[in-house]
Amino acid sequence: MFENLLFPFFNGLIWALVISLVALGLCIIFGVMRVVNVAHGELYATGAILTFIFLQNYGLNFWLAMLAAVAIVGIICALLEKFIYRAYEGKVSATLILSIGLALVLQQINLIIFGGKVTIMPAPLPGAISLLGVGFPAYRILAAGISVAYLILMWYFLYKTSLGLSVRATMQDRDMAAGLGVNVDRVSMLTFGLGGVLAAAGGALAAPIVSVHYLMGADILTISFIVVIVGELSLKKAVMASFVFAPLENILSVFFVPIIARVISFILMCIIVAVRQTGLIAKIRRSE
Amino acid sequence: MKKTTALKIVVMVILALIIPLFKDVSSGLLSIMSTVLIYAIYGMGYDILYGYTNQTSYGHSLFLGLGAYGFLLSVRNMNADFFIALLIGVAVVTVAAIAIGLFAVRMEESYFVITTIILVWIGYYLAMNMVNITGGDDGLSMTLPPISLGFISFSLYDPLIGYYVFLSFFAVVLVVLERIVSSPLGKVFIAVRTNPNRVEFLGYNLFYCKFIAFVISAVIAGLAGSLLAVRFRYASATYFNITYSALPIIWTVLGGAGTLWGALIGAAIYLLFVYFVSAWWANYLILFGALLITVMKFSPKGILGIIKKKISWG
Amino acid sequence: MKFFIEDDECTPSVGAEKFRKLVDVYNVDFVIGPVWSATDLACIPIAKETNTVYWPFGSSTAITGESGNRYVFRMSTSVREECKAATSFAIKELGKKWVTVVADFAFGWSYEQDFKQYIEEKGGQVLAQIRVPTGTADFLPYLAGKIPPETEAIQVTMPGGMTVQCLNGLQVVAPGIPKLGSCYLLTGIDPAQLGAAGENLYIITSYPERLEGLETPYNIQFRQLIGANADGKDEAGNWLGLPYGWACWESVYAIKEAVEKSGWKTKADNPKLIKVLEGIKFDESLQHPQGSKYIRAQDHQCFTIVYIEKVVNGKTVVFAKVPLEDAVYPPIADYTTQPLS
Repeated sequence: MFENLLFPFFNGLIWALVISLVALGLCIIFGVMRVVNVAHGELYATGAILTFIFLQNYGLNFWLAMLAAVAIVGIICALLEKFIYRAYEGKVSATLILSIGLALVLQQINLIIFGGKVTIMPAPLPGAISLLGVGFPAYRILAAGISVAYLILMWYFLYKTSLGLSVRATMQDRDMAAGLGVNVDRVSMLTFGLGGVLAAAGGALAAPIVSVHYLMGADILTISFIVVIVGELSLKKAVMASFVFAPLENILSVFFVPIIARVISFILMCIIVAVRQTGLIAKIRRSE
Repeated sequence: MKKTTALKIVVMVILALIIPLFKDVSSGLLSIMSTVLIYAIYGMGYDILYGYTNQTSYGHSLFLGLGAYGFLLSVRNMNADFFIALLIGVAVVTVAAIAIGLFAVRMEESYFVITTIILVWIGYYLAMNMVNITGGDDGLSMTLPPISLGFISFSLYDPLIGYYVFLSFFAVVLVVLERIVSSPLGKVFIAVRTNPNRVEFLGYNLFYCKFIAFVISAVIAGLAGSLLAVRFRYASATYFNITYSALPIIWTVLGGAGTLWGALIGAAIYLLFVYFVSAWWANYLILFGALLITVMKFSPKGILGIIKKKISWG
Repeated sequence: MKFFIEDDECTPSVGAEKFRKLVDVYNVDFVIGPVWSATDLACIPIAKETNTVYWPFGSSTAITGESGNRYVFRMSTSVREECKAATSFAIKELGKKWVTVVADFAFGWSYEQDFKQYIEEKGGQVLAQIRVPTGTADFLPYLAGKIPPETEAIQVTMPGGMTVQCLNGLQVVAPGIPKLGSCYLLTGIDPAQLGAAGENLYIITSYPERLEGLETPYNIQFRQLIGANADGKDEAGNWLGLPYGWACWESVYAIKEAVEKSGWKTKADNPKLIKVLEGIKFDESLQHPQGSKYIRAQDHQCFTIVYIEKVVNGKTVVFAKVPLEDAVYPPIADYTTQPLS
């Protein structure tokens, strides 16, 4: 029994890390710009697709390919912020439509440049390692390590640099930050770029595990949204929520049909959000 | 105000009398317009929620699917007649909407959006999984019951009858919603959109207002779902897919949120793309996405917003 | 003949709308395709409603089973046909103890069910039935520890979008084990890039993608006419989807033959056409390069030879041919009892 749970648990941890990256991107974009970025899944896919193209057609090694892909996505996102989103930041509904439009365009562009096929991305580190008696693909461990590195870099940037401080200030209170001299426009541009970088990095890292497909962003988008909201739009809590959700779903799949495992995980997440948001517990306490 | 009323009447006349004239010239026109009208109903209901009370639900296809299956399963399993099946479809959706609305509507904007996303995915997964009931993504078909009004009976298989049935529902929903919007309740809706805090200060129960709007929009989505099942004689778990949740948002905002008629315009443009542009370019969605972005940049109030600007200057 | 082409976007409601468009706007007499079963099922009632003889070529058994009608003819294999044929090969060549790994939707379930039934009939055993949700990209959580050590072979049923990931996952948990893939498992996938995951991979198919698998003069000429090279790609290097596409070609010629035999002039003559088609036999020819076949009268299902391919050195080669008789199953429905107006 224990061995049965070990693999899903490890796997869940790995996925939690990848999801954290993507969710973090969503979170800072929403925090700074109040944009619900439904194009985030497509950015993830673009990261994977560009990495694949650089790997395959230009012969770059995996790390360079990933770096190039992530940089390109980041720059595109920064430009998109400046020219498309800027006028509407703060207006959730208008930016939602802009994001939907962007998602459609990006998805079709991915389809055009990559086609509808599914391709394997060869793992930069082949082979498997034996962890507590369970054979675990070595690349996944490496990907986990890289994700952790990204997270640490993000943490350092946000909490130890002045630019990061500006970002957090804008997330907390945009107008106040502007009043205190923060260049909120530049912060927005940086944030959207950074969000794109994180999503694309997640896609590139996940690609050797899940293969590359132009629609690969759909799943991760929903889960990222859920994790962000359960984490109540706080960066740290979003990461924590990923670590609750991913292992939970993986372990539940051992006991239930996978689709039901996912439904149960979603329902649990929904209950958490509902209870905390409607202050149900407080109300019950008050009425006692 | 008189100008717009005249315009509305003209549109209705075109829909009711002119379009059917073309039925022999191009029977496809009736076909597309039937779907446009059903989508417009879905969109109008959504507009009440989004355009009038500023609640962005990204999960309305849950109600669309429930309405479709409520109707279809009543016909298949109980041999229900048209109106009973419709009633059942709407009843199922009402119950679901009330249950969901009670906790979802309380939440702050972003939480509300995500909760609706979670709920619609749950609905989708369950619908895909409960194949014995829903047929999964293969779906289920039905034989359409005729509409019997006492001594007369109409077959919904006749394209013209089908068109007029959908048009009638469109007209009824439109009239009902316009009355609601111009009623005191409607004024409160608009107030909720403009300044929710003040609404509370004025003594209205904010939650109650938003809740009513939510349930109304869900019920209309359910109605549209039932009509969709009638139109295609078919329902599948894909109706619960999140894409069908994004569509009413797109139609409403594209056409003009908070106008009710915007949904009709948005749905028509969307179907034009699906129907015609797709035959020309398989990646037609790029153009549609670009259109969304462009319209938004010109006017966040959508196409009707652009037209209104032109009219007030012209 | 004039052809009008529409895209169903693999979405049943869009497909149904396009079917109506073809009939309402373009006034077509016959509709062929698509290959997506869900769309086929949505369009079948519309075919009857609009008096249009319809030739879908998805493989869902229900199309010529509980969901079909007398206007529907399927010029390609059904899942049940494929399973029955494949199991007679599988039990002899691959093993008796099986595990099925299927995608968690109708297509997967029907393979899971039919494979079990037929392999057990032939003395085999299904040790475990694994279902993986559609859209899954990471298969390890569903496979690790779930495949009993005594398993001799695995039956894999995946839509094209999940195949690569599934094979990758199997490569990790059960490297080199013989795998029997559902029909067209490798659609749009280059077997060369599978690497070790493609080891010992057999696939059911109704038509070999590569010319080498069926080098008859008819097939050579057919492929020349449609511009397919020896690998099944066109000049630009795009996969032509020939394992499905042959059904299109043959449907057209079936219509032609039936029109000529019945004297069909307009849709009003459909009853005559339908009766001619019920029980019709086609010999292998340029018009029917896939092989000799017949359309069964009761359920309008075509029965034909089924191929088993194997991935060898990054290419698919024909490994075995299952004769038509091994694929025939009792009809699920009898449409000849349905009156034709």
